[in-house]
Amino acid sequence: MRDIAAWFVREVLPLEPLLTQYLQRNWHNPSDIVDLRQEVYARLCTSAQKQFPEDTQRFVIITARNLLIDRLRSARAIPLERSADVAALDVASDVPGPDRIAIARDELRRLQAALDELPTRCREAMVLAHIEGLSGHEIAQRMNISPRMVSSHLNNGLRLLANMMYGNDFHEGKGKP
Amino acid sequence: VSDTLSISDTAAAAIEERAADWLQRRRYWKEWSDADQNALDAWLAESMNHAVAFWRLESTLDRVERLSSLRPLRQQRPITASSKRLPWATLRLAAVGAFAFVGVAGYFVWHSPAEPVSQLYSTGFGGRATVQLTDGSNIELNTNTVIRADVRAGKRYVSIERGEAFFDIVHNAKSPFVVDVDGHRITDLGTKFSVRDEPGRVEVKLLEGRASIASVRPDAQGHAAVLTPGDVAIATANSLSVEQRPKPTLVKELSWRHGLIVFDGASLSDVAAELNRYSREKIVVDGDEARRLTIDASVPTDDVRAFTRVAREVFGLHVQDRGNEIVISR
Repeated sequence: MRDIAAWFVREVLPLEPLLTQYLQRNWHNPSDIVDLRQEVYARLCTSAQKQFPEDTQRFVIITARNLLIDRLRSARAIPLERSADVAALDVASDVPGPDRIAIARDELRRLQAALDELPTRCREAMVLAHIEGLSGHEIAQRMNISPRMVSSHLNNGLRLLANMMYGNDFHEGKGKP
Repeated sequence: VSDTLSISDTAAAAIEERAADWLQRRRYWKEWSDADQNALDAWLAESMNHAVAFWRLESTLDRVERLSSLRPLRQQRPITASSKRLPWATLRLAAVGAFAFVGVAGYFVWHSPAEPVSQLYSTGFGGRATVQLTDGSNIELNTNTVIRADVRAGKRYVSIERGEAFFDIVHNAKSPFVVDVDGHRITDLGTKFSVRDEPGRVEVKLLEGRASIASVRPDAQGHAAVLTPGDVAIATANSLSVEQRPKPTLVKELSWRHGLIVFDGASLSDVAAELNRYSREKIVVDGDEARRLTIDASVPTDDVRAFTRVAREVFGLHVQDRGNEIVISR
């Protein structure tokens, strides 16, 4: 399992902006995107247990397309204009890959910007945890809130940072100074 | 269409929420037991959807951690990837690989609430940083260290909240440099010394100059000593002892300042205990026979895992990776 996890983090997660963009473009309901993305990841990793794909990016898009087709088949009402798109999907030439070098170079700035985007209390908890190295209980004391609230802030902080660091929000110029 | 700050309310989101909960409980609260780990493993094995949600957040946390340990702090000049190689540091274990010096390339300011007077400096696991104070003194922080510094006209004060730091203090007769750590006060008159804060114990190693150490805790029995070069003071709540060590020994013990942890005939259990200060993944040595093995090694402070590779490949030990724990046995 650890080699799957390592492969997933190294090869697949950097493609998250690409995948999200693909799903957004080809699926009618934006509130399904998070579900679809997770399902694509699960399918990719299940398949990688048997064999790692040669071309990860192509494999990600094919998997996403197959999932969308499955979903459309099982859906009660098919939104016509979208299903036509999916059937005609061109896998290879659809979207450009991310510029990995730029991503690495910008990583510090991305994190900084991502932190700036967090809600105030949530950011405060994350900064206390990572800059001052405080434990959950110490953060609760410092912020004068219950441990349960600290958990909730840290939970949200982690999830929002993941969305911002792996998501495509930065490619749209959001959060940049 | 996409709203960065919304967390959606779907089945995937519920899984992600659960994954975040596991992660933050393991990372931020000091109550993680074997039972918790087993429960997490079971949850991860339950569904690939669980696993991918967890891995995604885990790698986010790793990135945050890695970037925070690279963070130069306010007032700090960038650390150069220096050529200060130690003449005595022969790399006896070739497999440990190249010396990895922490070079801080990016500049990164965290927005913490305004602190008008005292400045906070910190490093994460495996991190290292140099702080240059306005009076010209330097403080080098070792792994997992937090200090507060208050240096202005007429006052030079540092408190160590945890970890280890090396002080190179510029002499100023009018303004002694004061370091408080865990109920002990070190007052120095232009010296080079290190302070290491451990649970229930403070260790001060004096390389040059002169300094005094005294208890400042009101309930503690008063004790005090004046340290001269080569002195190593070990202070607890109720005791203070001072011993002499040869300067080369002290320098070797402070090799973390150059990004290395050096072991010279140390037992494997001592090696593990020391390396565990530098990494969140903890090494556990299983079996008395393995614990007593004698090790000579130089390990980069930012790549403690190099040691586990050497343990397997050079010493032929069994190394079992359990995620946040690495078990070494004979």
